[in-house]
Amino acid sequence: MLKALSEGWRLLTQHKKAVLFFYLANLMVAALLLVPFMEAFDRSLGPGLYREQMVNSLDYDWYALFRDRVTGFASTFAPWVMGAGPFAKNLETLLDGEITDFPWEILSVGGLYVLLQTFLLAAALGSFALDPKGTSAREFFRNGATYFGRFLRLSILALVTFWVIDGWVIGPLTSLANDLAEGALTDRGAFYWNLSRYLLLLVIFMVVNMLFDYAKIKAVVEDRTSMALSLLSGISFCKTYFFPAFALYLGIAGAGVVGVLVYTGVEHVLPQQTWIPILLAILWQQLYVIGRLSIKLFFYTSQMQFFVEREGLQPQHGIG
Amino acid sequence: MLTSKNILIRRGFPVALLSFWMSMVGMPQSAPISLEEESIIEEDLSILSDRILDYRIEVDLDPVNKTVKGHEILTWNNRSGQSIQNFCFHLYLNAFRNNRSTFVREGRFQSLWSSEKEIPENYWGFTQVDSVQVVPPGRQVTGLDYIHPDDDNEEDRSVLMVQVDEPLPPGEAIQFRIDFESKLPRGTRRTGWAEDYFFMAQWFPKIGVFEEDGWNCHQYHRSTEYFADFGVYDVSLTVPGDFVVGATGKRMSEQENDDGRVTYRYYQEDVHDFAWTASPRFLERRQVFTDPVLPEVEMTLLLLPEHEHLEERYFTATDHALRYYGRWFGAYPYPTITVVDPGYRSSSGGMEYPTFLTGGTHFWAPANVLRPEDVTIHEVGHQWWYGMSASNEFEESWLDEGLNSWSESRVQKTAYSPSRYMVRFFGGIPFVFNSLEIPFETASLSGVRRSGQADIMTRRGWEYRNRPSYRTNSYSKPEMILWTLERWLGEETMLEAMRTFFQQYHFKHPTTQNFIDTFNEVAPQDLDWFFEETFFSSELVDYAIGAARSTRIPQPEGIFDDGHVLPSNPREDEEEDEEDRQREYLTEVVVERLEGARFPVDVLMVFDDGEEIRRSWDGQDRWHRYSFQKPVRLEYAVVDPDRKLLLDIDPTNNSRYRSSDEGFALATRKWAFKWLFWLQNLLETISFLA
Repeated sequence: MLKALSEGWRLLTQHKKAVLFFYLANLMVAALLLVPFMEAFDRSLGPGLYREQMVNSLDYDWYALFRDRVTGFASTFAPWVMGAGPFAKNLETLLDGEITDFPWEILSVGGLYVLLQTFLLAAALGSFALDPKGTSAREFFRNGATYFGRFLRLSILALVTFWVIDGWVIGPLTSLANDLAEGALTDRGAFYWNLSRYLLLLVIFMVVNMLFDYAKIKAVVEDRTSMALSLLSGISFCKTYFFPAFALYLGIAGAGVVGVLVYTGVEHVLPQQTWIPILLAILWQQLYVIGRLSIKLFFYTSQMQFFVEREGLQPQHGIG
Repeated sequence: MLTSKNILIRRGFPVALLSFWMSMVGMPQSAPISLEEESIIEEDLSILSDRILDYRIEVDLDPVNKTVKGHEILTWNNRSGQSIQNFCFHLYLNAFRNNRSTFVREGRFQSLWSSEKEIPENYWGFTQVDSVQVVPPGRQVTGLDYIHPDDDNEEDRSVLMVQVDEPLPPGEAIQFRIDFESKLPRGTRRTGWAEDYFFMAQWFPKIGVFEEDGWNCHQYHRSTEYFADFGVYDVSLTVPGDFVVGATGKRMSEQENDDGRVTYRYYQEDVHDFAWTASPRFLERRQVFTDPVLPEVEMTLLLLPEHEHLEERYFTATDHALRYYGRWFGAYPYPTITVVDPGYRSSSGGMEYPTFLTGGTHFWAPANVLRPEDVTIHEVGHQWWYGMSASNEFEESWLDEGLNSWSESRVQKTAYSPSRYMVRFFGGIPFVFNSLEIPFETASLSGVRRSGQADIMTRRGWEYRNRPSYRTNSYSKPEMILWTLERWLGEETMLEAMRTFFQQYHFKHPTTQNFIDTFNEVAPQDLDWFFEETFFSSELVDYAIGAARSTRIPQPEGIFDDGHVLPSNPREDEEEDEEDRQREYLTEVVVERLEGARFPVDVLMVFDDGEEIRRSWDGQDRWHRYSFQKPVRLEYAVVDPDRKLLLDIDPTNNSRYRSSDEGFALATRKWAFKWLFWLQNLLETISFLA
C-alpha cells in the first residue's frame, strides 16, 4: 500500500498539468453563476450603509431579510459558507440524497461539470496509463477523446447506481434510523442512531465510488470497451483485495479531511475586513480547491499503481 | 414587591381554611376586617387574588394504562350579579380523543402523531366524567351536555355543560364532586406520556370563567391556550414508589402507602391552573433564589440524566428571570418554582403553568448558543405574563406571549451576550458561527415581515388566518412593537409603564384596553395613534431613502434684474482659479413610506465635510423631500438613524449613499467568493456521483 502511495504521488507529480486543467474546469464552471450571484447579493445590500457594514461580518438582520426575499439559486447563500460549513453542508446533502433539490441553475452547472469531469478524468487516467512520465496538453486531450465515450458510459452507470442506492438504501435506511431515533428514550440516543445512519451511508458511498474508480482504471489499463464488464471486473478486483484497497482509499480520504481542517483553521484566523486580506482569503480558498483536486487525482494514481501491482500487470504502455 | 398586606383575624384556623370560609360567604379577599374585638396579627401571607374557586383533587397515576383516575371537589363562588344554573367545564384532553375534534379539524386533520403511519389505540387521550354531584346534597345535577360555543362541530367534546335544578344566587358558592378518568395521550401538544415520562397538563375537568355576558369557556382550538379564574389548589397525587414527581405549588407531604405507591400532596393559592409530571428517570435538584430586594424562592429542577451537565445553565437562567422580572415588574410571590427538563419527544417542552414550567434543550448544547436559557427564561417569565396577569389566552394571546417575548429578550440582553448562529448537521452536531450574532431586539422581525399582514394583532386566537399568523401576532409582532415602544419612550418610562400595568392588573385578567390605558397614563402622552398603527392594523412599516443626490449648481446665466446678461456658455470663457469659484450644490434627499403604517421618523443627512443635519418628518405622506444648498455634497442620508422604528421590515433601504462606487461593493465580492467556494466544492461533490 505504501508503495502504491509513493508511486501514485510520483505519477501525479509527473502530471501537474492535469491538476491545472481540473482546476480551471472547476473554476470556470462555478464562475458561470458568480456574476449573477453577485448581482443578486449586491442588490440585497441596498444602496446604503450595509454595503460597508457587511464587509466586517454578516449581519443577522440583513441575512433574515435576504432569506425572506431572495429566490432562485442565490437563495442557497447562508452563513454556513463560512468555516467548515461548506463541507458539512455538501456532505450532508449528498448523504441525504438531496443533491437534486438544488435550484435548476445549480443543477445545470453541476451537469455541465460532470460532463467536463468525465472528459478530464478520461484524459487524466489515459495519460497516467499511457504516458507515465507526463504528457503535453495535446496528448492529454487526445487521451480524453480516446476514452471519453467509455467514461461517459461509466458515469451513466454510476449515476444509475447512486439513484438506485437513493431509492433502495438511503430511503429505507433513513426511515429505519428515524424510527429508531423516535423510539429512543433520550435525544442522545436519537442522535447516535442518526449519526450511525450517516456513517453507514458514507461507507456505502465510498465503497461504491471505489468500485467505479477501479472500473475506470481497468477500462484504461486493460483497454476495455465494455463498461459493464469493466465494472464487474472492478467489483471482482475489489472483492479480492477489499481490505487493502479500502485502506488505501481511506488513507487518502483521511488526507482530504486533514486538508479540510487545515483550511478551516487558517480561514478562521484570517482577518477579512479590507481588500488585501479578503484577497488572501480568496487565494487560500482556491489553494484548497487545487489541493482537493490534487487529492482526487492522487486517488486515481495510487489506485492505479495498487491495481497494477496486485495484478502483476504490464499495461499497454508501461505504467509504474 | 408584594401587594398590599392584608390584616387577618386569626382564631387558630389555618389561613387556608380561613380563606375558604371567607370565599364561601362571598367576602372580597382584600377587604379589611373589623379590628374592634379580635386581636390582630399581621401576616406576611397576602391573599393575592380573588379566589373564585377551590380545587381538592385526589388522583392515581397508572403508568401501564397511561391513566389518571380520581375525583375533584370543586368549590365555585358566584361573584357575578346573576343567578347561574349552568356550569361550563373544559375537558381539554378530549381534543385528542379522535380526529374529529375541533383541535384536529383546525389543523386540517393533520395527524397528532405525524411520524406514525398507523396510530396505536393507546395514543389517543380523553377525559371521561364518570359522575357529577353537588355536595353536600341539596341541588341536583339535571343534565350533562357537550356544547360547542365556537363552531358547529358536534363531535367536539372539549366543553361540558353541567345543569343543576336550582340556580345559584349571586354571592353564594356551590360545591361539585366530579369523578373522572383521564387517559393521557401519547405526548402531543403539551401533554401526555413518552415511555416512562408523564406530563399532565389540562388533565382535569376545569371550570370556565363566568363573565358579564355569560360563560367564557371556549373549545380547545389548535392555536389557542387557556383561561381560568384564580383560586386554591390542593392536589394529592399517588404514583409508583420509584417515580419522581414535580407539580404546581409547594409539596406539603409525601406518604408511602401499603402497596408501595407514594402519595404526594401539593398546595398552592392564587393560581389558575395545576400541572404535574412524574418519571422514574428524573434527577431532582434544588437551589434557592436570593436577592437583596426580592423574596427567596426555592427552585426545583427535575432534570433528565442525559442533561445533567446542563444543570447550572438551567438554574442560572431561572435565577436571572426571577431577578429581572421581579425587579422590573414585581416580585415573584410564590415560595417555589419548579423547572422540568422535558422528556424526549414528549411534546411537553417550552410551556408554562403556575409555579411550574418546562424548558427544553439538546444534550449537545454549545455554550454560546442560548438554549436552554432562552426557553427557560421565557417560561419563567410566563409566571408574570399569564401566571399572575391571567389574561385571556384564547382571545388576547399577545397579552401573555407578546409581553413575555419582549420581557424574555430583555432579560437575555441584560444577562447574556448575544446568541450565535448555529446549524446542526448529521443529526445533531452543532456548527456555531461565532461571527454572526443574533440580535436580541430584532430576531423576531422576520416573522412580522412574512406574516404580519395576514391579520391584525388583536383578534381572537382561533380566528387568525393560519398558524404562522397566530405565531407572528402572538409572539413576534408584539415583541417588536414593545421594543419599538421602548425606543420611543425610553427605557425608564417603558419600565415604569410596564410595572404599573403589572401592579395594577395582576390577578385581575387584564385586557388590551387596560394595557393601552396604562401606557397613555404613564407616558404621559397620547399613544392611541401608536396603538392604532400597531395593535389594530395589519399594515407593515417600511421607510426608505428613495433618493439622495447633490447636483452642482451651475454658474449664473441669463438675464438678471440688474440687466446684466451673462454669456450663454460661460464655461468656455472661464479661466479663473479654483479658489475663486463658489461651487454650490443642490442636495435633495427624498424619504419614502413604502408600506401602510405611519410613524414619525427622523432623517439624518451627512455631508462630505462631516456636517450632519437632522430633520423630523411626520411620516404621513408617501414621501417627503429635503433640499439644501451647500458648498459641499451629501455623503449619505439615513431615515430613522437611531433605529427607533425596529418594526421597519427592511433596514437595508433605510440609508443611501449619494454615489456608490461603480461595480460591486467590497462586501459583495467577499461573500460572493465564499459562496463560490461552496459551489466549487459542491460541484466536486456532485461529480463524486459520476
